[in-house]
Amino acid sequence: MALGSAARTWMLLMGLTLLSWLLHDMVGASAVVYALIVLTTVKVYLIEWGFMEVGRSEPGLRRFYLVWPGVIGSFFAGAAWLVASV
Amino acid sequence: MNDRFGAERVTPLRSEAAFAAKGIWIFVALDMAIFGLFFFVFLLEKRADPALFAQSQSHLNSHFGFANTLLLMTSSWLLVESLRCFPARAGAARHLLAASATLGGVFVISKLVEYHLKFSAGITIAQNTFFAFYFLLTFIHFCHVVAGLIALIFIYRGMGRSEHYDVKPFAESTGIYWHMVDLLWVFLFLLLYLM
Repeated sequence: MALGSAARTWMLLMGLTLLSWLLHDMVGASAVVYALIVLTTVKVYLIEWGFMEVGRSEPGLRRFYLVWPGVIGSFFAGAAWLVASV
Repeated sequence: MNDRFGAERVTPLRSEAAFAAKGIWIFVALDMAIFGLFFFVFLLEKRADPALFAQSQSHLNSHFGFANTLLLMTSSWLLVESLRCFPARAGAARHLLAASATLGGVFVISKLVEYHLKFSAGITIAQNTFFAFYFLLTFIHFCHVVAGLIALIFIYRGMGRSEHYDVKPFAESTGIYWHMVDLLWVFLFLLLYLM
């Protein structure tokens, strides 16, 4: 059976979490910040693929769901930049 | 079907679903903003005393943090799959939901064990600034997980009924909430255990 996009995203999340955990001593805090950005972005896409069936049936929310990964991605990029700069 | 003003008529299910979805997104935005403030203050405090934070962090067992991250991520993936199956394959959806809730329950037990080990070692919220943040942030997150688990149990019961349309909006809103809980844990894991 072919893997669904949610399953592939989940496997990517598992791999990234494992790498962050195994390598954090070696690569330092800045790499953890990058891991944070990637992990949260991938996670956001897992949500996007997940369960928007009801929400998408509503015109206002459908427009929101079209732009929200970008909005949330920008939010996390900003947060990660903040983390790195503090 | 349009009403007498020409606007599309919204069925009760759709308006209820839209209301639930909008409400949960507003809640998610506010909750993440509050956590965002906590994270920012945590980082400011860490910057003020990096030695204390590094020394305190060494008392945390990152195995717990790592295992908990895997538990929550897998739980929310199973929830995604469950909601995809529902309502066409309600039986499979219920099994996946039960697995998702079980992993959430294991997270709760794991966190309680971790708290117990900390208290046994004489580490409390009053230990220092780092542990004040550690206990505060993880306990607030813990409460979120427990609330999510209660919602998952309600959905599990709702999926067993014949009138599935009642539970779908609530299930989707809970799914969004459950992903937020998971996302917050990713931040907590990296900030508290790894950075």
